[in-house]
Amino acid sequence: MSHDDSAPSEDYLWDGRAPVDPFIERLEAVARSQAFDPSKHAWSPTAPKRRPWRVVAVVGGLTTMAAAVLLGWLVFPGGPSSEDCRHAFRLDGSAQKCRALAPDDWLEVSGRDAVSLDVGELGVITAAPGSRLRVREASSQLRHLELERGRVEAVVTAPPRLFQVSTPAGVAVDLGCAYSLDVDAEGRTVLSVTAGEVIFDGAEQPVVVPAGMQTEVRPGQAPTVPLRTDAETELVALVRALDEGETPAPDLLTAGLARAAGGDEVSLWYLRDRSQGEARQAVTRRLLEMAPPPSDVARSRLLRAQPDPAAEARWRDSLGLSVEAGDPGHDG
Amino acid sequence: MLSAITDLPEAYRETLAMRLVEGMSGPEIAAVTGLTQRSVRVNLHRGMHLLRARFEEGGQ
Repeated sequence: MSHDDSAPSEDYLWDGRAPVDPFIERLEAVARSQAFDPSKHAWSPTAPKRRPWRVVAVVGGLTTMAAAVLLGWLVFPGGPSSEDCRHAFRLDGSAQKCRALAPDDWLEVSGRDAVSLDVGELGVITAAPGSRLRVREASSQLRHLELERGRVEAVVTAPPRLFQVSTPAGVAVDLGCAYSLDVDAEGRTVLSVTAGEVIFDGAEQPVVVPAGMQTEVRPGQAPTVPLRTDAETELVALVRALDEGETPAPDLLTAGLARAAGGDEVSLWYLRDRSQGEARQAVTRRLLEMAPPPSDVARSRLLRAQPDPAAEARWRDSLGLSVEAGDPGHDG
Repeated sequence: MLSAITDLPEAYRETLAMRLVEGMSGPEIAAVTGLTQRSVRVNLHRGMHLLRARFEEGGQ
């Protein structure tokens, strides 16, 4: 299964920004031509505010038009996995298909080939040779794996938060489609996200890691500031210094922030928490340039020495980094 | 193609319909539905992921 092809389309899917994704563009053209004929709908296509009920009407129309095709799908014998294979991890392979791993069963990948674990209809986990993992929970509310060492690649299509992977350094809570976890002999964990988002909750503050970024976590420590995998060298050096609790040299602070580019807003947000005094002010000013807060939040509130919780929360939400009820780090 | 959209789970179906049929952007969908931008982004991405998989399976 190929997943890399979907990652570059995220920007186009989100707000139509280039590069255009041909598959999505084709979907748009067909969907609009077949389902959204303004002459057949009561609402005006020029109305300034679209409302959810209009979408319900569109979806209803789509459903009606497609009913016959859907009926064919429902009776098609090559559909989803059988009931026996649902709600459990299972080894994916012709000889072992649907053999469930029960909670507390350990799986050691000792051969030269990776092993795929089919998580019901929620996704596929691939464990690399040398990996050791077990099922901690496999209920309808939560699928929870523990990776003691090695590497897993996860492609998850479940609703957010339903799938989690623990390592000696913390727990990765799935909010997105594809990511990998590497755990070395000391439990040091590297999370790399290729699509969607993942929350990693370490010993202290959790971090949200979007697609294209990674974080490292050592047992008992907070996750490092998430960085783009292709972040500029100067920014990486600045992040490393502040992550280690050092006071960066003025030149490093200036150069690192100057090299921050689009996509680095997440890094700067978390970098603010790791910095103090003038460094924090400099990081905040750079982030304000790159990602202004909502118009009703004065910049001065974000530059105060004493954090303004309400203003901070609004800014964080506008960056897409707020946590929701039930997420690690949610205040309740 | 339309049948593939309507067969998606509800959360993905409605979000994708807003995006593909009405041409709304992710932030606009979040504003209209009251969902967080992250939830909308996840629904869009996962819905599209499922659509791609189904089209690949069907050879469309």
